[in-house]
Amino acid sequence: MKSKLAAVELFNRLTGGFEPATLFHGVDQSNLDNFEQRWRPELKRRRDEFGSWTDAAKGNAQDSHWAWVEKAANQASYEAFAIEGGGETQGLMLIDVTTHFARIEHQKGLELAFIELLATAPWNRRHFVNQPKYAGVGTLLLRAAVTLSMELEFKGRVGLHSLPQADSWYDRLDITNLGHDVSESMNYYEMSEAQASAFLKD
Amino acid sequence: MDRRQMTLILSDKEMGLLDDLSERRGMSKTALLRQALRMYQSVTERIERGEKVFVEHPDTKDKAELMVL
Repeated sequence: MKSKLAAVELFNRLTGGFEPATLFHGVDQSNLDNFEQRWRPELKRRRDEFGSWTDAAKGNAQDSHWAWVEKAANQASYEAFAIEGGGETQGLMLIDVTTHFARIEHQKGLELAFIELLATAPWNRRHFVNQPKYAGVGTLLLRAAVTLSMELEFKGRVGLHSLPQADSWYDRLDITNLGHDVSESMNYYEMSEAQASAFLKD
Repeated sequence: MDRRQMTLILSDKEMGLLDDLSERRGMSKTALLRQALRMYQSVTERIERGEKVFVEHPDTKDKAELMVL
């Protein structure tokens, strides 16, 4: 079920102004259709400009293979979030709150909100288009993940594997980089309780 | 999030388990029961899809399959 969580604002880099948007808990068919019809063709086109998945990081298109529709259909296992603005889906996120546990030593083994997928729309991405449109989508979604973790009494603990193209974004945040996870061939990041509290105060 | 209320009657032993787990996981009893429900649902779904759920001993690497009837 999709429900409105909050009215938010996205910064439009093209106009230099803020625009109203909505954060939703849950996704519906309109979000999935938007992904299939608007996101996926752009992602595929950009991905095809590069010879390998590794090189696709330069074009911010390493997530072109993500199965949003299939995973979102299995909502019993995931909490889904969407940001809508400007008449389109501007961001999507899927969180697994059941099968992943914290790895940082002082919170090891405790429950966390594990971000399976988090993405802003292709036209908002640096290195994907010359003039990316909305800024702040990723931060709003990450904030929603931390808030969900708080609501579930996980105290803000959040974990995720980062695509190489997104490493620099996570490295700019106060979230612990636990290094390369061989099993996933990606870096693993985790937000501690203290980091989560500080993140929500910013 | 929509909320619905129910009354849950537990034996002393079950309540003891709930108290103990609640303290060890740092969660309220309500949050713990919600999480337990999610986990049970996740395991059930995986098994119904034909997947197998194992627990592995950290040293011996012996695996035991989790069965849900």
